[in-house]
Amino acid sequence: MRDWVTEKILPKVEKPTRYLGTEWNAVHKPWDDVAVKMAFAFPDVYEVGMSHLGLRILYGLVNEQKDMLMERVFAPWVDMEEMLRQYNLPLFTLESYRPLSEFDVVGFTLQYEMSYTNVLNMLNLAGIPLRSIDRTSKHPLIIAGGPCALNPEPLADFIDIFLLGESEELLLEVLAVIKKNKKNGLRADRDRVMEEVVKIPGVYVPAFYDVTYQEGKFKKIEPNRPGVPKRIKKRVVADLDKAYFPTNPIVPFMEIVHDRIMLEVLRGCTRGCRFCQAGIIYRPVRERSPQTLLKQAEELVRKTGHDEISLTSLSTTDYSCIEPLINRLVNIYGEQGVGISLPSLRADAFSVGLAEEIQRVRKTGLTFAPEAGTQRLRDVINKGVTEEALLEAAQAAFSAGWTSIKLYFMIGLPTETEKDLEGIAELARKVVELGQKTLKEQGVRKRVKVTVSVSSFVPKPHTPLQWEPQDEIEVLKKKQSYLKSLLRDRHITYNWHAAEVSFLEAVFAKGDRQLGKVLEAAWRKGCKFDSWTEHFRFQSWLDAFKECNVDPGFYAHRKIKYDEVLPWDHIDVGVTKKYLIREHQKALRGEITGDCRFVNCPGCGICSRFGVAVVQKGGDTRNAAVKNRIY
Amino acid sequence: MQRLRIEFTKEKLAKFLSHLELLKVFERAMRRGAIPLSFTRGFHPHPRISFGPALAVGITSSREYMDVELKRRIPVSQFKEKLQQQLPQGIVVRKVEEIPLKATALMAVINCAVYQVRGEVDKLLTEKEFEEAIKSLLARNYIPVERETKKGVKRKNIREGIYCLTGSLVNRCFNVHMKVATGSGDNVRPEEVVHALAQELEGKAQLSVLSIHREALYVKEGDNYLSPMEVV
Repeated sequence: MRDWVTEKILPKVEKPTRYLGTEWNAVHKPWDDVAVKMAFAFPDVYEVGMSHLGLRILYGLVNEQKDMLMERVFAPWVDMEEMLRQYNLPLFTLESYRPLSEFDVVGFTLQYEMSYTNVLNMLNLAGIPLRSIDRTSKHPLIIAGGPCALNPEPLADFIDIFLLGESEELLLEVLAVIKKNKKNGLRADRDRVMEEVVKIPGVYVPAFYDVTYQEGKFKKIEPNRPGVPKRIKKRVVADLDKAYFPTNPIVPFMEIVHDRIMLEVLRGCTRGCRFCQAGIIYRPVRERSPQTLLKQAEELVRKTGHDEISLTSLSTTDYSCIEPLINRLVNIYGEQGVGISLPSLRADAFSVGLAEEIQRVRKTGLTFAPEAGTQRLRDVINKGVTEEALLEAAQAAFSAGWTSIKLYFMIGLPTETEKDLEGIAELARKVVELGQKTLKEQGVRKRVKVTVSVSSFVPKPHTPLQWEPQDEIEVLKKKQSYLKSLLRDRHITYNWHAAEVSFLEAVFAKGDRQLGKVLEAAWRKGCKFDSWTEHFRFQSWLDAFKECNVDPGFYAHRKIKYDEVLPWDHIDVGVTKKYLIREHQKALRGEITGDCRFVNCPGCGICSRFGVAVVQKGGDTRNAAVKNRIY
Repeated sequence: MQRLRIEFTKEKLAKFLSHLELLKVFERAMRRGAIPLSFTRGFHPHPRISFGPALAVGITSSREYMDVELKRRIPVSQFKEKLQQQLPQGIVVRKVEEIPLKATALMAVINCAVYQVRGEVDKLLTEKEFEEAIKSLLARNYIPVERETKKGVKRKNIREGIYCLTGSLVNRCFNVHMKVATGSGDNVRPEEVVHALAQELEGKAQLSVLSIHREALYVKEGDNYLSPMEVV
């Protein structure tokens, strides 16, 4: 099949290197020598999926096991899909070009809601029945993980097994059960595997739970057989220094979104922004030691040949050993033409200083995320950024030679007023003025450029703002155009996200099982690649909701009461509901909560309930600059 | 400092690599092989690697060329071995020669390419008819092609740039061999020559191209064709 596709199809598609499967470090294991075969499916195009750290980790981990293999499959781009359908070819993995249906397991990663239609489309292209209930032991088990698996209900009809939380340990346990149940090379019995894996902590088998609705409203979810947990706890890796981390990831031929080494310095973030789901679900903060990181960096450069090391995490400048680490890396790799980069910066002068130190290339602007336009609203969302700190950061950036700055904001946040929108414009203008003044003082004759990027608030499950409604599409649009009128300035570029997309995100983020039929209907109407503007078909989505008699506004626009049972209440991500309610109430009062790394423990519950702890490698040596940024 | 000229193949799946992807493949291969690449200075340091005329995606080649500058001298045989170990299938390093630091760039010296084009004819055609078409094409002194540029469609005469053209036909499969001008000056694309040949058949048959292979690149000086490995 490979030769045929190579000769007949690849010459006709855009970017054929997406489909070669022979990239450096790709693993091609002899098929017949391996007991358990898994396809890792990323429901988006190659260059997006290949940038995902989770894939790099799990691919390395599984392929290191003697008896297991993992191959990759991505959503084929529309031209490739057309070819597959035209020639009646099943969707195949890149390494062996074997159809997905020949694998024991196909595992999807769910990174964002707008990739759900691609999950269905990929199953369909693979000739695998969409719904779990229609599959038999002839078909692969369909599993899924990733952040969106923490509200699994909208996909409950289609996924056999969800893996909750960090799956470095969990996935191998599940694959071991499959291996044990494989006899004479035949596929493992599906029911048996599901019955056994459900005993593993972190595994959720939706078929083993029944949902009750009352007047269309989610009422409760309960196990429908014995031996199944009422609540399923996510999995957490306790010690990142001991956790597996790949040092020979695949080096793509084509340019991908994050075309560089990703060195994960820490996991988790306890800054406590109240809209942020990642800040809750990846708790607690666990750092890797500089020794481990330096060793990994050395191997990564030697085995990939990349020219850039990105220090990734949710908030890298919070790493307690960031300065010594950066110093060492710059000293070692500068000479070899390998740059160091930070994916995001906190809005303060300390972070800008770090960026200045390492930025070999000043091609890109700096990005800060104040998220809201006034201090009041920033306090509501617990975004610990003051105007003063932001302007200081901007000043430092302009002084260091940057001329373009990007600011991220959100509209539609709870308690927002016109004043908060005006605050966005004022802040942007202040940054412009500061830039003009600084550049003039330095005799730099370049124009200051400030980009204001505005997204719409999407209330996410497991966050303090999960009970809040989203603004209606029309309201969001009005706010967007009001901002546009305020931001008419030749130094300011204003971008905003389509409100329709944010609306669907909110629906599926907080959805329940009733959305399964809507998802399928939308896919049948041709919806796929919904996060790609050119493929987004809002009208088809609306038609799908109507056809299924489901009101999407019910999920997105309704203020939820504390005593309501939420469709994701049976998923335990570590923090207690009590903590989330407390945080929600503090939000409405505009009270801030400190970071447990610097002030008192706010009692979110993760450490005591999950037997884990905050791990900081810097200890008392943490530099003063970091301490000074405590709010 | 050391400057090396490399002759390599781009075959099998490697034919799908774009020019930029090929550059990345070599840069990363050299870094993995701990080959001490030299970098340009300034805000955008990039490795001092330069290629001959770019090969379009999908075309295979037996002889492509690349120059690379190193910070430190290493034995040529060691360089060749280290580099080959780090290259994906389809890219084979055939030769490596040390060249003077000031040697003229590949793009400035390479001006001729040899292609082999294979394809099919849709109707039965005699070998003679096919050969006649080649002869009559070569007898012309004006072979116009249209090229899309940023400023719109431009007409160009490619006859001067066709140095040699032969071909054969067996059943429905044709095989055309051509030596044409290439590079930044005069440039003739193999598809254009086949297209012109198809027009010469005056509707007797259509030609469809199945594969294009670049056999060689030369430095043409009058009637002499020198390998880029020899010119320095």
